[in-house]
Amino acid sequence: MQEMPLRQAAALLLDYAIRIAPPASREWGQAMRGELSFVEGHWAALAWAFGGASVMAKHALISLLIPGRRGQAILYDGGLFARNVSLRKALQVTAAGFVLATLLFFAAPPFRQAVGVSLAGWNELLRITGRNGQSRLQALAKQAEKRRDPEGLVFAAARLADARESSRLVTEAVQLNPAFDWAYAVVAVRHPEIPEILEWLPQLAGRDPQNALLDFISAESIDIAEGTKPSRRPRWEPREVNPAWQSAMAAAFASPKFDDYLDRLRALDAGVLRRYAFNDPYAVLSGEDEGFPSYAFADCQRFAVSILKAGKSLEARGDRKGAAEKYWSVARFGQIIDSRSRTDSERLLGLTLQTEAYWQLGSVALEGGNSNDAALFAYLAATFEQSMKSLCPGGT
Amino acid sequence: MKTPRISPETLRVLESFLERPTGWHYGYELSRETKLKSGTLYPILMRLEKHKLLEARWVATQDGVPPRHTYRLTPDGLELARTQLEEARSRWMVQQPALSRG
Repeated sequence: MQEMPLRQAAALLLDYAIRIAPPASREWGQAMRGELSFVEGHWAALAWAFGGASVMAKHALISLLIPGRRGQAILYDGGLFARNVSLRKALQVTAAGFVLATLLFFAAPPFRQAVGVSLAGWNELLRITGRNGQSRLQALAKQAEKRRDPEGLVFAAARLADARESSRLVTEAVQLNPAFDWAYAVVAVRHPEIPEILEWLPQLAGRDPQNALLDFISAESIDIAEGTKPSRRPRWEPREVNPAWQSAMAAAFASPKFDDYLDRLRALDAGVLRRYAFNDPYAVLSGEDEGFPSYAFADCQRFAVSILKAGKSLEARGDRKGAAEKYWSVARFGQIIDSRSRTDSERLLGLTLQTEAYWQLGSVALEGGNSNDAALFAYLAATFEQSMKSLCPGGT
Repeated sequence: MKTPRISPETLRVLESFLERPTGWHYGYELSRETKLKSGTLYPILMRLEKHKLLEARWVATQDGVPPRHTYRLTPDGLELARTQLEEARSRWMVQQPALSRG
């Protein structure tokens, strides 16, 4: 029952093999095809076709690899007396070539870097490139210490996962060159639990007093000093508001600027990468994803809610001017964050603060009978809300 | 100069041709006589033909059946086949006592 289809399959296989063979070899393919009708037994015919197809395929492959021979009959073993090169041997040579190419792929630095980039997206799951990156950063830090290179020390300190080591390196870097004291803030954002932050803050505030980042760092230090491990406590958990924390957040909201110092960090990256031949892109990027402190998202929302509530209380008491001032402080700070945002999360925070503040400002203006201002604030609030929805379509 | 050794598979093909030195042989017939598969036999035939040791021609068959390719050794091919087979037999004779001695 199944014998005829076998012979048909054999014929089809050979016909196809003849089509892909180089022109000069096709006559031989036709020769094998011609014999197929005389092969006894359908299974034997199929085996015959496989043998013929393998010859044609080998010729097609060689003609692809050596294009100059495409139009010629192919004698892949060079002469009559050379040993016949079997398909198995050709496959073995090809496999060996692939193995060699793979080894080269992993040995050459540009390829190792390419693999690092490819795996970066899976890092959270695999934790491979991160571990390798950390050991490379430690090696770089050792070299930087030997060379007494503050740039190399800052580069490593901003990226190492070990808080104590990071603190030690940045301190050494600033001792070597005090102009790098901004790196204290970068390390403080990455490792808010470092006790030395309390010593660093006055120095940072003296150099850059209007930067909201320093107030965020200060507020987080106060939060951590409140308990044994308050940073582990859920931020939505009801608790008393610490006046010192509130004061630090108020200072942050009143700050005219926000600078995460990542621009300065990036400025020294190129020189360090070149000097130390550092080629782990994931490790490089790991120092630049901590611009806006992660804890500041919750702190900002928590503080903004308290200001908006205070504004509502003033509104209830008929103090519309005082309420508007509260709302303006939130809107203004939202604008600063929005204008400096590097990530969607930062932008979302800026838009959220502005949306809430402008809705409240519209409400105050309406109560005061100022319909033009109310319409403008409502328009701004709706615009920011629309931007929020486009950032996170499924969000509320 | 010493003549390089010919492959055992090629020797089997030449031996088969020498059974009817002037006759034409079909590929399938050669395959059965030499026990070589098509994937081994045809590259040998192609090389012999390339070196002008073999000539090939097409033979018409009955309607509906593709024409067949047939082969025979050229005078040069015959000479080479005889020389090589003779050398191979000599080598075999020389090796026999050594083999029998273990």
